[in-house]
Amino acid sequence: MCGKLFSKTMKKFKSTTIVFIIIILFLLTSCKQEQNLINTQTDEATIATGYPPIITENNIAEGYPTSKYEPAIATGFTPNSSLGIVYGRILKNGEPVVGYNVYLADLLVNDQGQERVASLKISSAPQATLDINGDFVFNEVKPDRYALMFSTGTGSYLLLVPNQEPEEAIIVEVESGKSKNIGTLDYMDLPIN
Amino acid sequence: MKHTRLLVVIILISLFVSLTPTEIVNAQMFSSYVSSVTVQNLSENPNNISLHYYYGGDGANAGDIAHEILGETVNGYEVVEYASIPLSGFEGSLVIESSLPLGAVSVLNGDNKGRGMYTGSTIGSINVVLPFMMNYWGSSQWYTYFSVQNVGSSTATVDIDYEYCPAAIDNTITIEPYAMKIVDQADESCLSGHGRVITSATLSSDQPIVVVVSQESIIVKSALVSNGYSTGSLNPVIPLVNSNNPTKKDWRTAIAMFNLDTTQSTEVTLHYVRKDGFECEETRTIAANSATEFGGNAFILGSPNLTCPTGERFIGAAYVTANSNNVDLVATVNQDRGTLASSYSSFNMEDGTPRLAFPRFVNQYGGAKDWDSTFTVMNVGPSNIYVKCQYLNAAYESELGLIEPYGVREDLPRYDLPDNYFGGGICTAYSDSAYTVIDETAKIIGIVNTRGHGKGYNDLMMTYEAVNVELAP
Repeated sequence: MCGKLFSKTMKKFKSTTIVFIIIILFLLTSCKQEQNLINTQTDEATIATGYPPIITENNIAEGYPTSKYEPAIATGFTPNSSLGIVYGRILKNGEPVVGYNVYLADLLVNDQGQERVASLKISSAPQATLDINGDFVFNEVKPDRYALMFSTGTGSYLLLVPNQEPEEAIIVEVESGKSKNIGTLDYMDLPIN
Repeated sequence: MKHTRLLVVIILISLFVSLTPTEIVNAQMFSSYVSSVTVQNLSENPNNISLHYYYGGDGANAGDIAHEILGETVNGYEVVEYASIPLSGFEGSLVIESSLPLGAVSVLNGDNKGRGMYTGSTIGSINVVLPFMMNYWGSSQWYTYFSVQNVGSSTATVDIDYEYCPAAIDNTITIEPYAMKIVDQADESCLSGHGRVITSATLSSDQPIVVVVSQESIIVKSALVSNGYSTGSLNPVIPLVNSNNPTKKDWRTAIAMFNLDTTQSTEVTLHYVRKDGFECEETRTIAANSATEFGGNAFILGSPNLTCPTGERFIGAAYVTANSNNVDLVATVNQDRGTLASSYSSFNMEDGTPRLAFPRFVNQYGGAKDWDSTFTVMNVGPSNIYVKCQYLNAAYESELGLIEPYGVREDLPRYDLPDNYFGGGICTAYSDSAYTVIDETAKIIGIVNTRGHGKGYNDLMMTYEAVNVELAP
């Protein structure tokens, strides 16, 4: 009697277990699909909220020089969608300029609304240091228009588009959740030793 | 609300050099220049300022540019740097208008090699003297040029008289309001082609003017930049003199002292005090409306006018103790060591205040962390004081201890401030050793030397005068 009951129970259990396992598998599959969906959404969201997107021609600021020296892809990130990244490389006669600080300076407009002065408060301006390749990355920059400035022991100076007449300051427009590649700026001369 | 006009003459801002160098003004000048301007809020409150950039010559300007300098760092003495956005380079001048006191310094970089700093002026004058000018001088071929800014509201006619030249007026220029013009001594017919010339100059204008002078050698790639002067004092003080430092081949200080009186000569005794307390002096006669050199090679080669030991290392200060006809005096002080060179102005004791500001101060700054600033503070008041200096956005404070009248203290906070430090500072005189009671009657003055230690055949030395600050009532 007990044997029959046990056998019946086991059969029921087996069928219940099988059903249960199927349900679990189904759920897992569904969850996996949902998980994949979440991951996909996360990736997109991440790109949107600050991971540097793949560098395309569209991301290179119009009018800025490119050269055989391509700056390293930004490795920093912005934590949310309200900030941006700016990066590039500075060379002097083809050689990396190393260790100097660069800043994003505020732009001041005159009474006609024209941008005429860069204002740099070093204690609070976005700052980056040139690495051994001359690369710089400004992470977590508030969206705005900035002038790129180069700071040395002798002063801080506005950087211009190299080798261009008439002279033109490098003005960077930072947008939320986007990276801006300024490109390689190769100068014939800089106020450094 | 009262608006103070802080006038900053900026010579030849050309920003970074591109393929083609900027205009070559003269073969004796550097082929390109770049300037930086640092402005410091000297009040403890936010300061609304207005910047007016004037293009050279014709008075065209970049419009009115408003900006607020916040007072959010130590004692509110915030520092901001400004650069004009070029239409195509910039050569001109800057006027900063402010409702509260400001200090400003500017760096002039020639070919990124010869460099000098100067302090912005707050007031113009119709008479300005330039104590020390050179044309084709020495094997390094030193030349001088100066930039004149009209700070009056009408067109200025400026007469220039070089002591070396026989005519009463050697050149006349006109300058539009707030604009500037450059006068290059190599272009002056009475100076050029006459071999080596050292002279001084006086400028007379029908509008107030300010002047900045640059002594330059493109051979040794050096520049010394200083202001022109409209006032002097009976007993000017010189906070830093160093000669034979550490050897005869090294640092030297030459003091071009100008007698502002147009009719009387005067016999002047300059009293030197070495850091260890040793004292000596130098006595020379200065003709009316002209300059005579003190210090300089006299410390190295000896002179019957100088009692300081010949060839011995000297680091100290100096002040005038005798001035036979009680005329006003002013001096340009040149410090040089090979290619390193800088210039600053003597001080009037009566201009001392209980507080100084340093608009620009760096520590281990630059690519190889190779630029450092040091400062010298001198007590030019009648009482003992204690001086403490604070730095913007840094915890370190320099406590200089007791400084007796005419005493001098220096500080090089190289290992105390953070690496890669850029900021400014203030020094305040106290009446007690605990630095709790500000001595409101104290008078201190000071200079800041900024020195590069990088390699290269360049001028890595710049000096400016600290800005005297009146305490808020």
